[in-house]
Amino acid sequence: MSPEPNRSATSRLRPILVALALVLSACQRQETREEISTDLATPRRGGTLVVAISNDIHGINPLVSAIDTQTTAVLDRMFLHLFEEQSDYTQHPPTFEPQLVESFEWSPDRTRLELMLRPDVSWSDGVPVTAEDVRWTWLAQTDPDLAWGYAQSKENIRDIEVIDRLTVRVHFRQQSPSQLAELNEGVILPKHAWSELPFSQWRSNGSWFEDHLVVNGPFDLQSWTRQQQIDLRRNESYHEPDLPRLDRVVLRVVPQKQNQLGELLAGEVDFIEQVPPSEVSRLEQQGIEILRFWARQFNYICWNTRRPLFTDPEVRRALTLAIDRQEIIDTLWYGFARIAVSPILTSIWAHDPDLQPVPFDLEASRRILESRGWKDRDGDGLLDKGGEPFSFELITNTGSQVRIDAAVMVQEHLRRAGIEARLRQLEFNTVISRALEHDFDALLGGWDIDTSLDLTYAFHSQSIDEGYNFGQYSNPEVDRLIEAANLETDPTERVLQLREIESILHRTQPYTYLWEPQRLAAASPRLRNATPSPVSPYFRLREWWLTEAD
Amino acid sequence: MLGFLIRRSAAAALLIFIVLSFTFFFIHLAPGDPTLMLQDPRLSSEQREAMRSAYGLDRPLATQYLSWLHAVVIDRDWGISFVHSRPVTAVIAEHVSPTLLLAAAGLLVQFGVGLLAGVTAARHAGTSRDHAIRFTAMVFYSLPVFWTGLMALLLFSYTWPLFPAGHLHSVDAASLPAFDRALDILHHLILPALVLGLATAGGTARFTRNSLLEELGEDYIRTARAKGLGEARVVWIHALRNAATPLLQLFGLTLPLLLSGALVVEVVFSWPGLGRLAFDSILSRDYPVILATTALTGALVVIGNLVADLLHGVIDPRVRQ
Repeated sequence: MSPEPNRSATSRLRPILVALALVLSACQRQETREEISTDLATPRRGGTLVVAISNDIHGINPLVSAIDTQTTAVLDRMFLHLFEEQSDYTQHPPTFEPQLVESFEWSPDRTRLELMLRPDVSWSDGVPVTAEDVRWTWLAQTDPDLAWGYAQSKENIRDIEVIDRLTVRVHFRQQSPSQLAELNEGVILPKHAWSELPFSQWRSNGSWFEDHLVVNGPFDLQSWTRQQQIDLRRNESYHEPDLPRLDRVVLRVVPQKQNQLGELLAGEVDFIEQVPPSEVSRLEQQGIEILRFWARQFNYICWNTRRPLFTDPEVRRALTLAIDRQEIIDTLWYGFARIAVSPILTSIWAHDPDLQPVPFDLEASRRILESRGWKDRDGDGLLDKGGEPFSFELITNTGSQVRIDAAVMVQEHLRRAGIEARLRQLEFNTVISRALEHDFDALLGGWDIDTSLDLTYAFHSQSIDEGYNFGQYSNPEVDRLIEAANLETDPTERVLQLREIESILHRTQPYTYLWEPQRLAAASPRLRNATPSPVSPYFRLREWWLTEAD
Repeated sequence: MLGFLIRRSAAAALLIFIVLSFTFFFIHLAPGDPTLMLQDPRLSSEQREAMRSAYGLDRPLATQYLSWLHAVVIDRDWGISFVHSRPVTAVIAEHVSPTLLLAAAGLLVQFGVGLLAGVTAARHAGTSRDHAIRFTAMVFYSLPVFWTGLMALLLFSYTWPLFPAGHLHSVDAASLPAFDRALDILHHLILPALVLGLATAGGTARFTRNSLLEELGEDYIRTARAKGLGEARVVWIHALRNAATPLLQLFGLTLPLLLSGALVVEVVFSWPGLGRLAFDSILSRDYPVILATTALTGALVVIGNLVADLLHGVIDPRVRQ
């Protein structure tokens, strides 16, 4: 599925239905880093990095165009956030390193936050970045005429007040565990350069922003040939000394994965964000370094819990027991994935390590189903009850071969358990439409998620009518716990609440949690210090460097 | 002639109008909504509505249709792309030239190679040369373009790097002098144009051969030969002129086909173009771009046919009556 409506913003990844994803755990990543560091000479300044990307960017105004992963990843190299989110969320909530901010101070009740901005950051036209920019960006983000797609993240901010040239005070409506993450959503924009154009005209004047582009990030846009090449040059006025190390980053649009690999092997490309798991060993043999990390994604089968077949949690559990997820991982992912346990990813701090995935156990599955009255009475190989066979439709989207293949394997596993899953591949938009209308029996999909651990999107009953609770799962206890966890600021308390939610969602199986994939990025031997991460494929691009002059 | 042109153009405009109206309702009624692609699932319903209203999608479909029609017909304004946030005409304009360049080069290969092979086969009908040409033509005609494209890249870019591995220009093309830039583009154009052109050249070759063979059996050819004219002159001037009528119609009909074939070549060769733009806009439900590319493709079909008819008229004066 090429047009993934998911944008993994540097600050937060959004929960969304995704296509396939490929890529490493934090610990594995560290090992790789150490390996590199042993043969690291002094980082060299200069050179042109060529990156192959699958899709072009959509524009350069972050509030209008950063609607997909690719555009966000590129624009985040040109515009700075207040903070830089780190991917250190395996043991604790992610930390936020100050970026535009020099220091900050909370009020005792944590409803006010004072931000002191760095005095040494300017836009590329020499105008300093000030508190006015911060406030005006927030006004743009919340403007109803502009209708930013991520305006929801600013709901908790009542006001942003300019105290002096470099100080702002953020007024929150209430304290919550994700205040910083929400504040940090979206980059800071240049008021002096862009305020001329009314917000209501932003969506129709993409080119105007190209003509009035100023940046404060490590890279500036040199040129952009549509569907061909995005040329980023070092922003000479970037505030961090000696950074970025690269002179130039060229993003070449190569829609075909096979061509990306070909160009990488031919030495025309230095970095690919995602390679198919089946290609890893071939690439490694040819001296390409594979950079792996655990994606913030899980794939699932969502059961429509209001359809009679799937109302009973025990039956849903029996379905999970019948699906050999390890086989799916070994066959389709070559082992670069692991069995998902719950919507709280196993790589995230709040996950309960004692919670084991539901095992593959056909016998146990049969016993449960039999106790629920499902038996093969007519000898046709299918379980039946009241004269009706256990048969349903499993939908998934075209465009993601790994999902289609997984659906075929699930079909076969269920057939062995006496259950008929009729596969139906639909175009991505059709899948989403049917999911939102709850017009399906079972849906094989995936979520890219952020680290906020707000499970409202798919598991709170309020998201049945307004949101992405496709399977109409409704559990008052889960609703209550989600609401509590969304307000709980004490991490110790919060982890208890989240683990309780996790335990219920594990026990009641509104989803069969299939797998969590690794993302597999590939780097040519001359590329050093490349640190793609779940936060961004080009995380800390300013510190990447090349060994030889080109 | 003028009356003929006016009649044909009016009919064509009506046809395009009907196609576009169908497309308009069809894409709006298809499941999915462009704003779905542009937003956070956690957006509240008011924010969701604000976004739909920013794109005018909150109005009744009939109103949207009428205002779109008004804009297109009266103001000649094709609207703003939802995804690219720019006027559709500007978005399309950027993508037209690479596609036209590729299609023109493809046509050149198709008719250049096709005619040469067809004429050679006809002149040596029944010989091993004829069989070899017919066989090769059939092979190229049958192979899927994406496969030949990938094989061409594998052989001539990765194994023997004679040509660049796709793209319209090299990474540093912007810094080259104008002439070198043109050469650079030409170098990049050869492989995709060959792949696109050869796929259809097979058909053209067989078409030319058959059509020419019929002519070569005619009395006037015997007369020409009897007059002592050289064989080349007999075939290329006398016979081919008469065999050309169906070929010209083929040319007209190939024009839009080349554009759709170009989509596959564009994807395989990372070539920027209209095909990819149209495909992406369908996936992202970018209604204004879908409609404009449909109109453009429709217009090309019509123009292709018109050109074929006109050329036919030039060659065969009877048609003009």
